[in-house]
Order: sequence, then C-alpha cells, then structure tokens
Amino acid sequence: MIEIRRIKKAFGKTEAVRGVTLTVSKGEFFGLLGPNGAGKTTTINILSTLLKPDAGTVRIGGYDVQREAAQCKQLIGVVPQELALYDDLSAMENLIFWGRLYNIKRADAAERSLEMLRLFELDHRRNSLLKTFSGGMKRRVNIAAAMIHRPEILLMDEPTVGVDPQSRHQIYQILAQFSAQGITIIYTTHQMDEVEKLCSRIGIIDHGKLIACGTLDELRAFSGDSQLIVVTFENIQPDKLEMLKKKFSQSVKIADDRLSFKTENVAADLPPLISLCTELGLIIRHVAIERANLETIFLSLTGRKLRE
Amino acid sequence: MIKIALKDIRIFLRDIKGLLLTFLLPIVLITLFGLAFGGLARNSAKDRPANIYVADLDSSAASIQTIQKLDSLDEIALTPISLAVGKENVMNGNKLAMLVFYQGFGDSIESGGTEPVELFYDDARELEANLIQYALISNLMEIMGSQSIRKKIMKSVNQRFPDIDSSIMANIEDEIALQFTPVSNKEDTLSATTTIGSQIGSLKVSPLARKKSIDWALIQSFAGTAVMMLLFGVAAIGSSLLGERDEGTLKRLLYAPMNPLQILFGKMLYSMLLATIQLIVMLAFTVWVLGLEINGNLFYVFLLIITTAYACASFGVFIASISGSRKQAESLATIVILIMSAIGGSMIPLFFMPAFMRKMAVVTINYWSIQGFFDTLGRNAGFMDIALSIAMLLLIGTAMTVVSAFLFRKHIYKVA
Ligand SMILES: Nc1ncnc2c1ncn2[C@@H]1O[C@H](COP(=O)(O)OP(=O)(O)OP(=O)(O)O)[C@@H](O)[C@H]1O
Ligand SMILES: [Mg+2]
Repeated sequence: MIEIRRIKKAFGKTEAVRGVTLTVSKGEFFGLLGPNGAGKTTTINILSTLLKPDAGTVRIGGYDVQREAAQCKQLIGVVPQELALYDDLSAMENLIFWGRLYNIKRADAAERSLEMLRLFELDHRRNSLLKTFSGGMKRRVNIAAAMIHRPEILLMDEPTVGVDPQSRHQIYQILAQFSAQGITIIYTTHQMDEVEKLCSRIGIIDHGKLIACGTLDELRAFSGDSQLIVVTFENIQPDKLEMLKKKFSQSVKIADDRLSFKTENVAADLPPLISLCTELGLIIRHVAIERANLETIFLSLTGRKLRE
Repeated sequence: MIKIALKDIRIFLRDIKGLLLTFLLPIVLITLFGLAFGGLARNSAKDRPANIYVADLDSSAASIQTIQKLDSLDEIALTPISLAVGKENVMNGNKLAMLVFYQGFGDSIESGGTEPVELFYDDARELEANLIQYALISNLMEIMGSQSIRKKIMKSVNQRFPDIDSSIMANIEDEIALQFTPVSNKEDTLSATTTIGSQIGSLKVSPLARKKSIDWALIQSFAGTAVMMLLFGVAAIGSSLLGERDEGTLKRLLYAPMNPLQILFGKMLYSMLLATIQLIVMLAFTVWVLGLEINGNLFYVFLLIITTAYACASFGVFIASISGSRKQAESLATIVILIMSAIGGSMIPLFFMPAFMRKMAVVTINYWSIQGFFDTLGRNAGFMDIALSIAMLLLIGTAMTVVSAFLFRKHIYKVA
C-alpha cells in the first residue's frame, strides 16, 4: 500500500531524513517511533505530498506521490501534529468544511460529520465553537477531520499529545476499530507504550534513519532478546567511561552519565562490570537490569533514552 | 475556492468586533471627512467670502459689469487695486490672489475671441487658491457665458458661411438671443447652448459643463475613506493566510486534493466579496444619509466598485505573500496603506496636491479608484473617461496577483 524508497530530505544543513526505505501493506497498523527531531514529521509531510523529497520515491496505492498527488490525496487522511482546525467554527462546521474540500456533497458531509462526532463521543457538543473545547476534545476532532472523506490510509503525527489517559484510551479503541475495518495506519510517536499497545509493526527512526523495523517480537530478537544492564553514575567522566569501554567491551553504549550493556547472561557479566567501574573510580548511583522493551531496544540501538 | 471563501465568511459573521470595524468605522470616517471637507469648502466660499483683489485694466462696460456681478456673489468679495500694487501684495503674502481683466476684455466678448483674464495667486497658498479658482471659473463662465457664446456662435457662423445674407444673419442672431434671454433658468441655458453647439460643431461649450457643481467634499470623503478602509480590511484577510499557516490549517488545506493556488484565490474571492459589499454599503450611506447625488451612470459606478475590490483583494494577498509572518504582514500593510492613502488622495484630496505628488500617486490603488469615482459620481463621464481608471486598477490588481501566486507556491514548502 505504501512503498517508501530511499527518501532523503535536508533543510539547509539539517538532514532531517537520510535514506528511509519502508513498505507498509494494506491493513497494517504501523508505528513509527522516534525521539524529537528524528524526522517523523518530515517523513509524514513527504507521504502527504506536502514536501518534495530531495531523493527517493514514494508510492501510495500504486500512485507516485509526486506525479500523481491528486490520487494519493484522495487515498490518505492526515492527522497533523498541530491542531489544524478553525476555532471560530463549531465542531460540525469544521468537519463539514474539511469534508467539502474532498468534494463530498453537503448533506453527506453533514451526515458523516455527525457519525464521526458520535464515534468520538463529542456529538453533544457538536454545535459549540471549537474554541470552547478542551485540548483533548480538540485532538479528537483533529483526528475525526482526517477521516471525513473515508480514506484508506491514515497518517497520524503524534495525535495524542496533551490528551488525558482516559480520552487517550478512547482514541486507541477507535483506532483499533479503524484498523479492524482494514484501514492502513501509520502512527508516529515518541511514546513507546502507545506503539507497543497499538501497532502490529514498528519502525524505529533516529537522526533521519530507520534503525530497526519489525514486530515487537522481531525487534526483541533483533536486539538479541537479551537483557540490558544500565548503570548510572554520579558524575560524568567521559575519559574514564571511554577507558571502561576499551577494557570491558566495545559493545558498551555510553550516553552522558549512563552506560548500557546488552547481554544474554547478566549473572556472568554484571560482577566484572561493577568491579571495573570501582577500579576506575566511577561512583555508581544506580544499576538496573531491564528486559527488552521498545525503550531498551532503542537504548541498546542508540545508547540514548527515547524521551530526552 | 468558493468553499474556502464561504468558510471565511461564516467565520467573519461570528466576529462582531470585525463587523463593526468593517462597516461602522468607514461610515463614521466618511461622515467626519465629509464634515471636514464640506466645512473647508464652505469656509472659503459661502460662510466667509474669499476676499481677493481685482485689477481692471480694461474699464469697459463689460468688465465693470462682470466685476459687479462677481462681487455680488456670496463666495467672492473683490477689492479694486492697481496691477503693480496688487501683485506686490500677493507676493508679500498679504492677499491670496488677484484677478486681472486685461485691456481688450470687453472687445473680445464683443468679437467672440478669448477673454484676457488672469488669476495671480500666492503659490504658498495653493490649496486655497485652487478653491478660489474653482469658484471663479464657474461663476465667470456663467456671467460671461451667454454674451460671449452668442458672439462666438455668430462669429463662427460668419466664418463658415461668409456669403450669407445679412438679413438671415440678423435673424439667426435674434433667434439665439431669444434662446438666451431668460437666463434665470440655468437648466434651459445649458440645454439651449448644447443644441446649438452640436449644430455648429466647432463651438466649444465645455466651460458650461461645470455649471452643475459637484459635491466634491462628499465624493472625496466617500472614495478616499472607502479605498483606505478596504485596504485595511483586505490586508487583514491576507494576513489571515499566514495565520492559517501558523495554526496549521493551511497544512490541512493542502492535504486536500486541489491546486494550492485555489487557497490563494479563495482568500481573494472572499476579500473581493467583502470589499464589494463594503463599498456598496458605504456608497449607499453616502447617498442616502449624507445626501450625495450620483450624476453618472450607475453601471459604471458598479464596474468601478468591482475593479476597486479586485485591486484591493490582490493587494491583501500580495502583502501576505511578501511577508514572512503574520506580524510582519500586519505592520508592513499598515505602513504601505498609510503611504498609499497619503499620496494616493485618500487623506488629502488629489486636486490639492502639487503636480509632482500627483505623478507619484499613479502607482496607488487609491488614486485610480478615487479618480474613477469622481468621474462616475461627480460628472456623467462616458466609458472612455473611466476606462483608464478601470484599466489601471485591473493592471495593478493582476500584477500583484501574479506575484502573489508565484510567491505563494514558494511558501508552501515553508508550511511543511
Ligand atoms: N522546515 C524546516 N526547516 C528547517 N529544518 C527543519 C524543518 N522541518 C524540520 N526541520 C529539522 O529537521 C529535523 C527533523 O524534524 P522533524 O520535524 O521531522 O522531527 P520529528 O521527528 O517530527 O520531531 P518531533 O517529535 O519533535 O515532532 C529536525 O532537526 C528539525 O529541526
Ligand atoms: Mg514531529
């Protein structure tokens, strides 16, 4: 359904996307996970035909996003990162307007809007101006607006920012419903729990590169289905940490005041690591052993935490 | 395109403050300007008669009679003086102006030649002098008109048909005299001379056309204020395009399957609609409440309203497209509009301006629109008279639209 081939995009010196290749098939719920500035929004902008990639191609439903933008636009619904709605229109008026842009007849657009608002449990507020809505309510309308023209593909860019856990749960349920209806979804976020819960397949993006891609289980296997030893130090001493890396193992990842080491055998590796630290005069604040989840996978892949 | 415009209208109607600003403020301003200009005109014309010198070098019956008639008018008071002293005093700034009847004035009226009359004025007081000149010309033409034109017609007849029998000639003269005798009814005089004028062909009757005085104060107030207010309104709409960019709705508009330029044209269409309605409301107010009489063709007035709205609408998107942010667009718009209004005749009437200012004014929307409104509202101008104004408005509008369209395409990439 979506074929991304080696796309690149730079803004001046900032290389936002550096050669991403990815295929998402019909009906898949794909999670694109990455920290701030990883290139998620840039990728979504390219998929939604707004940005022209410097290199590479994207095909959506067989259509080239550059040359056949109009056909692609009919196929996709986009939930932008910002709340792209008119504050001075009511929820209904907003949805009808956005629907009308896809040449849906007024009556149909009204019917669909009401349907959407019911789905998102906002129909009791349908005639209130959007500016009277709470942040979470606006987020829901923001998603509904992308679905009015019944797209086959839904591109979502961090759609649940600032939503309380309860509404968030409701949104997840609706998205699961969409997915069950066969709608292909690409969902970007920097919240790994969302992706773990929702997505059938996950891609991890960092510094404009897709560094891993697969189901949660595949990712676990990819990172060795191992455990992760994370040691946090009291103070940052880069030279000593470098020394430790040299003496212990090159696969130790170091970021700031923290080192992480992926291992299949914690019992064998932990004692020598600790004694080496003491030997070097590094003061340990905290030691943790984690089972691979997306957070640790990301950590083991990049040496950095996801949310920083 | 239409959908985007409709959406904006819906939003606009919700905004009470905006509505007041759009319709009430211009009406208030027109009234204020109208009072100010009206007062100005009356001050120097009716309330206080303008006191100027008169130097009669001719001292013929005709010149004495003309001076008497002029002096008896409410607007003008004449003080006799010698040419040299009068000139000196005007140059020293003691008197606004001096009217001189040169020798041969009486003869030229008799013979149908051009009358040697001259107005000297203090160039530092050009503004007032313009008003005096206006009052003098119209009255002078009225006073001398019938005599002088009668002679001119006879002269012209004589030249064309030199062999004509003298008794027939006398007959014609009687006939013409008959037409002119009841000078009391001005309308009759005008129509009479025009008919004869068209019969004889070569006769120039243009000065008489001015006889029906135009209410320039009201037209100026309406046209000047209207264009300026329109520009402020459309600039706000233009900047809302940048607002939509900042708020992300522009991005969502771009997701939809349509040409991005439709977004731009949608905004323009909305601006045009609003500007047209604004102009019609303002004009209606000026006519019904302030009592402006429209002398010209209503269709031409409407044509001018539409083209003015178009030029203004393109100005709005133009400002937006050359600005980086909403704030920038708003401050740029304010500066540009104030300058255009100042040199284009919205604040100070164009005919008060020195010639070089008027030359500068041709780049402004205000200038062409105000000119056009003077032509269509003030005098019954034909299409060719307003064609230039309309063409220039279309030209300015289209030029700005094209630039906006080009720059808007570039801006799309900034959205993402
Ligand atoms: N229009 C732009 N001009 C210049 N640089 C840009 C532009 N858009 C994005 N960037 C840069 O490209 C990189 C990737 O940005 P992008 O918005 O794609 O990240 P993201 O993954 O969506 O981050 P976030 O989680 O903060 O939304 C960043 O370094 C950003 O500063
Ligand atoms: Mg982003």
